[in-house]
Amino acid sequence: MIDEIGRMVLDTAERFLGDCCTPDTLRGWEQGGSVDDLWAEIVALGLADALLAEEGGDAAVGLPELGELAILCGRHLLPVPLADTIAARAILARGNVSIPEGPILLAPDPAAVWPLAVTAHHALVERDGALQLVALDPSRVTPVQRGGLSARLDLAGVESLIVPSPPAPLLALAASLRAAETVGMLGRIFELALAHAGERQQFGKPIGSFQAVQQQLAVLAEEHAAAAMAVSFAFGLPGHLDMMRAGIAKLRADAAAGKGLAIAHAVIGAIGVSEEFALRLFARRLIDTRLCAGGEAYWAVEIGRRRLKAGATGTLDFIRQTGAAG
Amino acid sequence: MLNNLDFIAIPADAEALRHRIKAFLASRLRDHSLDLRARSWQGFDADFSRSLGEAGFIGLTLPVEYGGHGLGSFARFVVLEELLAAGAPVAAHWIADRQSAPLLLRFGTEAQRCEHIPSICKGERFFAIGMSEPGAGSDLASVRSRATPLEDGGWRLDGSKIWTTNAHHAHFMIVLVRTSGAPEDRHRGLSQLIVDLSLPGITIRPIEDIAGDSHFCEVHFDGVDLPADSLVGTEGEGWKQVTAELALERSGPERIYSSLVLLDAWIDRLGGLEIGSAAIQAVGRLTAEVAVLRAMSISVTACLARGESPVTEASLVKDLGTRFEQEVPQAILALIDVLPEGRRDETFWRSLLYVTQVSPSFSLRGGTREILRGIIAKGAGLK
Repeated sequence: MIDEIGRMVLDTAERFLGDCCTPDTLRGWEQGGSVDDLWAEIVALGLADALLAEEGGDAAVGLPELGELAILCGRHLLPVPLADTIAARAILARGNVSIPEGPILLAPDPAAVWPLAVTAHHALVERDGALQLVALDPSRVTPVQRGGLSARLDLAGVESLIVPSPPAPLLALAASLRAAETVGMLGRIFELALAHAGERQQFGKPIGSFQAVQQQLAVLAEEHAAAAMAVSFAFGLPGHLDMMRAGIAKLRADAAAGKGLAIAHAVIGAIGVSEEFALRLFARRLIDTRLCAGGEAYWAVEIGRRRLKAGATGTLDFIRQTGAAG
Repeated sequence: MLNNLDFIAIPADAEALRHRIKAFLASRLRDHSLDLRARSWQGFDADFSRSLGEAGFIGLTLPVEYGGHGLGSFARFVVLEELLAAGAPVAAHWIADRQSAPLLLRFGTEAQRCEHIPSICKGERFFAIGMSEPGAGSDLASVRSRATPLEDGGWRLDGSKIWTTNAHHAHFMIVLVRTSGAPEDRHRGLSQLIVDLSLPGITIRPIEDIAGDSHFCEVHFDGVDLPADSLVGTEGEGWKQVTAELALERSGPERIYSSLVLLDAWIDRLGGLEIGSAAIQAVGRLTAEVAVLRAMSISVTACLARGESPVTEASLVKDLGTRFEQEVPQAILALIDVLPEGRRDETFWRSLLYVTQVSPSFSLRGGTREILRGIIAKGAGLK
């Protein structure tokens, strides 16, 4: 349950993100515009710490508020890893490690490509069997696509600080946050497709009045709802995130992203793959997000192995154990 | 439109019922074969229903004064999901418990409630629901069966219903029929009537299904005289009443668990085998989907507990749920070679065939996939 203070913080974040993340500003940041002013405002609003202040940084990374905030970050395509930073700051505080300024990326596997790596100043990574904090030198963060915020990190020989491991595995945390952002993005592409279906006229009427289009939009709504529930399940229980619930969230959100994005493109038509139409901003980030923190097959195997190990225990009882506070 | 669906844990008082129903099922279902259990809520067993009623597991949300147990929607959810997960043969009382009793409670007269609800709760009185007709399936408002008012206040019923589940075993049937106007008037002039299936003029013909079972029926009414107190609710308001009833029909866990017994049997038989990634992934995906669907079904239950009628949410969960139910046999079929001959016992094979063959009906019964998606689109503001 989100309390009144949490709700206020989320409302503040929603207003702020809605105001500052417009298609024009997003394009500017993607083209290499500085995010320093944006980050300074986020810090000034207290968003980087607000959710964790009262918890004293104590393993608070399973909070429903964090999940909700990550959904908002996805919804507005915030170009800096805010949810990651909040989680990272909690982990650092818990380990009595001094907290650096600037955005911190969660990158469990430092050899992988990570969305928003371009705008991060530090990364929390798993290397040599330990959790480590590394400073990111912009010259060693290589975007994988022109105008993209996803990048590969070159950490060879980079000094790092060992951080005590939190109760939730870093991968579980990263996967849950990516799933939450996907839910935010799916909500927006549903709205974009719905608005387009209401405005765009063909054969003398809005395309949204055709059953073939309506049925597809209904499926997009279903996929969004299922992904949202998977994320709510991951963040909504007391205690910390675990691999099962994180995996369910990432797996379901990724599946929804694949199906949902295809439908949004089908409804919006050719303009949806153009640079000028906002859908492409969401499309790129959705695809980037799907490609990190464990893909669908990775998580399906993780969950499948656990279920097979439980053997004759029925699926219902197995699921109920997963749903018990972790 | 979907802000209602947040994850909610089942309250502790409802959870407290779980060990009781589990214990009841463990002893009562000991000798039930897998292929019987795989029939899920299509399995008909009047004795089982009576013993379930005797043990206090029917009419959980119905008021105590009518023989119910006065518990909440979550208590009902816990019992239903355990019944379904175990593959209990619940068909005999299922429809009466799920739809007919709540309908009578909401719209029925005091006499109708006292007449039917207590014996429904005992698991002794079974109901069928007469909606579809030979010429009216998804287009339910075009029903042609007609009840003509008689001078003594009674009704004369003529027409046919089809795909009526278990009409040949049921004692009563609640039919949606035209009581005024013509089929062109659509949902105006429709009413719900309660019909004693032992009355003269009623012919019931079971329809054998693809798996060799006979649970569907065709029911003909040829000048059946019904007493004055047969009308349920208000004359001409049948459509509104049915819409509320369908939210109940569509929202339950039976729309996600119909293939669960088969899934568990398959996973059980995979135990200890060296299996490839594809099968492990299938197990993982299906398990994850159950977790998500169950959480969704619980939050729809929370809507019901708050007294809402979650029409859009129920449609959404039913469509997702039946997609999963249909995916289970398809996944097992595609991966059939993973299971060595020695693990393909006859009861498993029969269960697999049964679920695979009847699974197309999962997204037909209770509102087709296309109708549900139309409701969702409408809920999103599309016209």
